[in-house]
Amino acid sequence: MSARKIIATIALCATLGVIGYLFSSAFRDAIQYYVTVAELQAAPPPAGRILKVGGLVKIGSLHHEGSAPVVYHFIVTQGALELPVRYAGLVPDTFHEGGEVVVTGRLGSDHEFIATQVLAKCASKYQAGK
Amino acid sequence: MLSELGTHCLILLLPVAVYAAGMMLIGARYRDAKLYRAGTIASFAVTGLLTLASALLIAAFVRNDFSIIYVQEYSNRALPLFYKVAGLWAGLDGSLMFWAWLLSIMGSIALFTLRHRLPRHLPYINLVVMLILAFFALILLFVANPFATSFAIPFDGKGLNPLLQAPEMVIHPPMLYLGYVSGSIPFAIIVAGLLAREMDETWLAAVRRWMIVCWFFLSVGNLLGMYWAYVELGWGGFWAWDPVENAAIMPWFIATAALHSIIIQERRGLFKLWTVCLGVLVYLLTIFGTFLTRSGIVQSVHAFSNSTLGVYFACFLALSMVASFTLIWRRRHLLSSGHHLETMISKEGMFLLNTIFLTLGSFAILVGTMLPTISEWIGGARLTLGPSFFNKVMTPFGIALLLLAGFGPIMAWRRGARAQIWRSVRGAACVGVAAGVLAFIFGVRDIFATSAIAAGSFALAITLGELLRGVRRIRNPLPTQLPRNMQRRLGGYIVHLGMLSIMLGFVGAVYQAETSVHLKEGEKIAWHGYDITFNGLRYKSNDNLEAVAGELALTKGGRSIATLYPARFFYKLSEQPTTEVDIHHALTHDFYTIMGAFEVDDHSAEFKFFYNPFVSCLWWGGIILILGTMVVCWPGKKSEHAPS
Repeated sequence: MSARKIIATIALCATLGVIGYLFSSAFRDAIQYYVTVAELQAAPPPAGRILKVGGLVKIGSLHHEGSAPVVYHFIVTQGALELPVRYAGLVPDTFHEGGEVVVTGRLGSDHEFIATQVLAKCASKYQAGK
Repeated sequence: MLSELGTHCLILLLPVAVYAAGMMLIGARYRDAKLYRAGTIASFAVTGLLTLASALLIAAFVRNDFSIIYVQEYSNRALPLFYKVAGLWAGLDGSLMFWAWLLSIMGSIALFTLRHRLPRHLPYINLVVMLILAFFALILLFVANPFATSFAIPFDGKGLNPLLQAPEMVIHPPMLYLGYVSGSIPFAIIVAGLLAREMDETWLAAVRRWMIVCWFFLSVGNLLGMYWAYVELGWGGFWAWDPVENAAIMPWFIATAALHSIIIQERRGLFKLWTVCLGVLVYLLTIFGTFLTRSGIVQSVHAFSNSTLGVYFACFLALSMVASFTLIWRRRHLLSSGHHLETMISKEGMFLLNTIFLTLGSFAILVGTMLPTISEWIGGARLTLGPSFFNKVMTPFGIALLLLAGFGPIMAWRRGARAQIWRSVRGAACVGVAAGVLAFIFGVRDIFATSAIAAGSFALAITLGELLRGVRRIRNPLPTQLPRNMQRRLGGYIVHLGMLSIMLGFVGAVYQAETSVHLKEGEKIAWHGYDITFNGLRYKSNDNLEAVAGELALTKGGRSIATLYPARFFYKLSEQPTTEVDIHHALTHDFYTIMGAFEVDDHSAEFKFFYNPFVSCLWWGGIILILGTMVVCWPGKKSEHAPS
């Protein structure tokens, strides 16, 4: 093998290594787990894990407090199970009681879900499936 | 009435398309001109049928024919005419028919324009287009008939989602669809080349030309999508790595790679296999993109969902993939280059790296997008990746591409002398380093942002230098140089300038700042150099909606800058209010405001402010990119036209 080939091979391996490292580190920080309320209540996930929970906003559970920023409290239901959620920030237009939501965030110490993002789906209009 | 006619069009579509494909195949096999002519007529009939069906659907929208379920779902009597026409592509079923219609038109244009240049390829090109159309005819007939009717005819329809009632939203989907659809044409030409065993310069020129068309519409479609997200969705940004956005950007990456690979094949006859593979990948990704958006396989805010359709698309995709790669494998002897890449330190080397990085980047996006689905199939937890994954992975690719955009233009073909390269880049390298240092001094401390600015300035310096040299060359052309090639080259550099501007917009997004506040009437706060005073709520209403706006006075050091009215619209026919943002565009940044909940009695409202550096660079870059593409395609003296 000539010296140039060796250099080229080393360069290739180094590039692939760097790409692999970036990929895996980005992966670790960005990974989010879809969980159900039942799973959350049965076994609390490791602290700091980013979770996504989908469900319906319980009617009558939504209230807000504070001013800068406004903090919303509501309950996400999956069947009979309930998960209290806290979210600071603006909620999307499509968010309303009884609507379908996906909340992203972490489980707080007091079993309240601290959401960093609230995605709402509009059941009737937004190109609904059949 | 309209629905019956429409359904009949769709029923006829499938046999006519299959007939056209059959005639093309047999006609090409036995070189029978009569069969070929019959097939051509049938393929124009397919275009005619789809045109008629689309016209019927538009007519149904305009005439408020609510017996058709699709019209019920996406229109109502009060909807402005403009949006009724857009109903053709507002929903799942209609958009699939729209897709097929566009493809049939594109196919006809390709048949017409290539009739003298590629007569031997023509039957095969038509064959591929007809097979794709037959697939769409199948799903339109059995899974997604936009003319399906309901027994009960409601008095009024459900109306179009207010978020979609925006001019950009009317232009954006057709542009993106044109991009998706036009990916099929270079694919058809490539397959035709393989089937006819003829891949000469004229063939490559046709592939290139249609790849430019595809790339252009994908670029414009993506940029319009970003613009719509920015001004309409009201979350302060323009790109969220949503699966649907990813679906649209992946073919763009590969189309960009294919265009660069084609240039190498034209000039040096290298990478033939690679060019063909990239062309096939573009097509597969456009179908995959349509599949991703239409099947509901990934969770997305704006994905349509229909699971049976997913199965059809998955089968079609698998079939296309297996068929194309089998064909490439069987024709591999035609795709060997004869000679080799001499060294990576050459123009060819830079172009090759560029295509590899673009492909890897696209692959990373694919993995990130499909992870939730894959992880569920494997049986593990349902995982998903946040936007930070894509941002982190794509940033190094972006910086590498910027560096290549700098090195590519100045490298010599085949083998460059190192001293020569150094002499060509040293000025630009100084500019790049200086820009990086300046950015660092002015507070850009993110290592990736600083590197991107340095690499981008390096590429900018080289591109501008080459542009100037090129303009001088056009005045005093070298005897060996074709004016047409020079024009293409200059157009390419202009497109690069547009891309540099767009990249600056992306770098700026790293430094986006946001704050939420609750303000009472007359209250004033200072943020990012602005003093913002809330002057109270303003009300307005018309037949369609009621609007509540918060009046914000922007001042800087006592000098009045702008008055903004972020608002909330309450449509009378929709339970869902919309957020209407208001933006102050300054030279280096946007001041972006949103109003959240408001209290009428209390005279107070919740606001969110964003400070978005360099967002306008995206839109300016887009305009430069369009201009550059026009320079590339502008008809010049026909130096490359083969005598026929």
